[in-house]
Amino acid sequence: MTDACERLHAYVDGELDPEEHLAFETHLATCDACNAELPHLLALLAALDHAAEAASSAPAGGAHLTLITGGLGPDRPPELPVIPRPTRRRPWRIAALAGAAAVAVAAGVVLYLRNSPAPPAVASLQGELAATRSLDARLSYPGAERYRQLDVARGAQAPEPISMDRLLELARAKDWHGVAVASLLTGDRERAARAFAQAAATPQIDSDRAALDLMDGSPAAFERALEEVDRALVALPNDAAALWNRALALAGMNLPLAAARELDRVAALDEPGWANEARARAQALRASVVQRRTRWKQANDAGKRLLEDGSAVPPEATGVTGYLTIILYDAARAAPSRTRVEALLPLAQALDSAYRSDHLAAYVRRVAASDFRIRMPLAETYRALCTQGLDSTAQDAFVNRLEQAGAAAEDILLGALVYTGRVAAHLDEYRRLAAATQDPWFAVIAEGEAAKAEIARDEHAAAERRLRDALALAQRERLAYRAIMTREALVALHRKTRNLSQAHDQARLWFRDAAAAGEWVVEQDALLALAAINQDRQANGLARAYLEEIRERSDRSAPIGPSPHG
Amino acid sequence: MSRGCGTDITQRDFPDELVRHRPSLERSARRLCRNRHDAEDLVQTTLERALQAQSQFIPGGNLGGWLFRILCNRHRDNLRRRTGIQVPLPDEVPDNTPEAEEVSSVLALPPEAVLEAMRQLPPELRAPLELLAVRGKRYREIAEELSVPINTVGTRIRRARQRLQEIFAARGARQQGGGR
Repeated sequence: MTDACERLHAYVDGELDPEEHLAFETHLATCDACNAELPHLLALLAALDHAAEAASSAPAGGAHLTLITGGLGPDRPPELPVIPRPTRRRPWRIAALAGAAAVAVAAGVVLYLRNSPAPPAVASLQGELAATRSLDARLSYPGAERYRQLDVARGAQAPEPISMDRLLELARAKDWHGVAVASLLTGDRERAARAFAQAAATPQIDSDRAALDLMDGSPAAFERALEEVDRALVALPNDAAALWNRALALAGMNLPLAAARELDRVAALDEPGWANEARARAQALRASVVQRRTRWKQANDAGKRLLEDGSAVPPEATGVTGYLTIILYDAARAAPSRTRVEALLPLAQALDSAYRSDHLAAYVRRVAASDFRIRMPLAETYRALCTQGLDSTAQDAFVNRLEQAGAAAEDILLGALVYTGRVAAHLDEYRRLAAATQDPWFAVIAEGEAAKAEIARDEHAAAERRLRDALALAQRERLAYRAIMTREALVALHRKTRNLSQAHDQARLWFRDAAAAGEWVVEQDALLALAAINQDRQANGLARAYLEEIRERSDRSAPIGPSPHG
Repeated sequence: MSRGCGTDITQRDFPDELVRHRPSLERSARRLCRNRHDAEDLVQTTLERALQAQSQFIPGGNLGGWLFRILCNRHRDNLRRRTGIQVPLPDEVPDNTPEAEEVSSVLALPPEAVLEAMRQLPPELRAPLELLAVRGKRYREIAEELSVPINTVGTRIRRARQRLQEIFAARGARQQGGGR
């Protein structure tokens, strides 16, 4: 320990002037004592940050802080956790509305909208609504807030029978919240949007505005809805309508477990009607996840058995085509005899029919026809590689043996290069072998690997073009899994080049497609990336939503296998 | 990198855990780097390194402490590169050593325990640390508020932190002594 070491604390506190800072960094580069202390110090500071945050955000935070800082002069005034909303003026345009009455109403509304900074005068829609409701979302406006059973058959498009007189009355009273909700209920979303733009900023109005965005159904609209209800919930953490609408936004974003958890909170409020519907919805959302996870687990278990002892994959497990395609290639490479390879034909044909091609059946037949005197020992080692792993000396030896074996084991070499992480070092060889298969599955992988090499050389534009071409090829060939993995590579590239909005767009598609393809584990990777990307782009509400889902999934998930390689 | 076929629940939890630690890593990186860009890079390379070395992480071990060590090692490598000191070898990822244990035991403390430990500090050490950690004041502002020289502020903050580390170490020893 030297005098210089004493500056470590001032260094992490950012208290050194530029010259001292530079001098200290030169010291830190070589000082073992400082390097040993630094992680402890950072951990302590993290613990202090955490404690300071907890003290200031807890409901009794004021008391905590006063206790700590008592006697230190005036404390910071306690900050109310209300985020003021900047007033938004959405540009409106006059819509071409059908029917004279509608035009008259619209003109009246528009006129009032233009001249109306006045605060809302609350009226009610009591008595204007049908006995059942047509919207999934909950509304807070008086008269529209009570529970009515959802009539699914009515559909969201069937308007409520709100009279034009009532609408005009609301507009004359400058009750923009009322106009917005009435418009929303009559199916006039554009007028609803214009009225919301004029309405005051209250939690209830934000929650109802979310209902409008939920009707839109686009990914961006679900994200807007989430932002709106989050704002409402900061002010009113137990607002049932906002919690409900948050659940719908989360479900729309494909985050069923986070949504179910919000519905639990609604159910806990025990409101007549709403509580039961919340429970039923939560149960359905959870069941959908269990179903997908079970399907994946069946495929995963069947895949592992196939690889270990050649057990046939039952037809009900063939739904997860991407994972099983990988397993099929591995099983064919690891099969010790012609009979075992031929037994793979039904699975190959089932997968081919999903891809509407015959690549897999052709591959199985080709392998079955190869010389098993050469192939058998290599197949055994391949099975050991992908079920237990080999140490790096054994990996080197194996790759050498495969290279010497030539045509009889080229497919095994293709797999071994991926499993041993040697594709980058053997890129040209990998691409040649991939091209020789004439199987688009390997063409897409090879392009992905070539793009990786370009990214490593900072040739980002070339890599992006290559990945987009590979994505198009995968989509053309219906190789959903390869398309998903190519999107993952695009996301990584966009993150590296700090193009966060494109990274976000691609990651959303990666997540959506992984869920649709039943690739449960890949879906978790995409969720994780979405959480991180949204943290990076300071979209904290979205990041929190993804983290909630990740947390729920990790709490409930049964031990199921990790991602398949490649 | 290939991902194996075996089943391992801890491997699945691993990325989730990384995300959980990310905010505190980011804050630490900002303490070490002079600009946001470098800090982001540092966090990114730390997380990448951790993911690459996932298999070296012993299940049930102390991920927080391990990550903080990786972050500090990466930072030292960056400094060595910048100062022209040859980096001998790419840093090996630290094991789950007893030191990593200590680092993460502090991270696992509940906020109440940290606040309680701060209350145990003598007033002359507690005051500057609180002004810094709770109210986010600079050394210069603390010096003005407490009417002491700025160098004294630095010394007291350092001592306050060392004292806290001693309190936590004693607490850890007590808990271990209590034995499970």
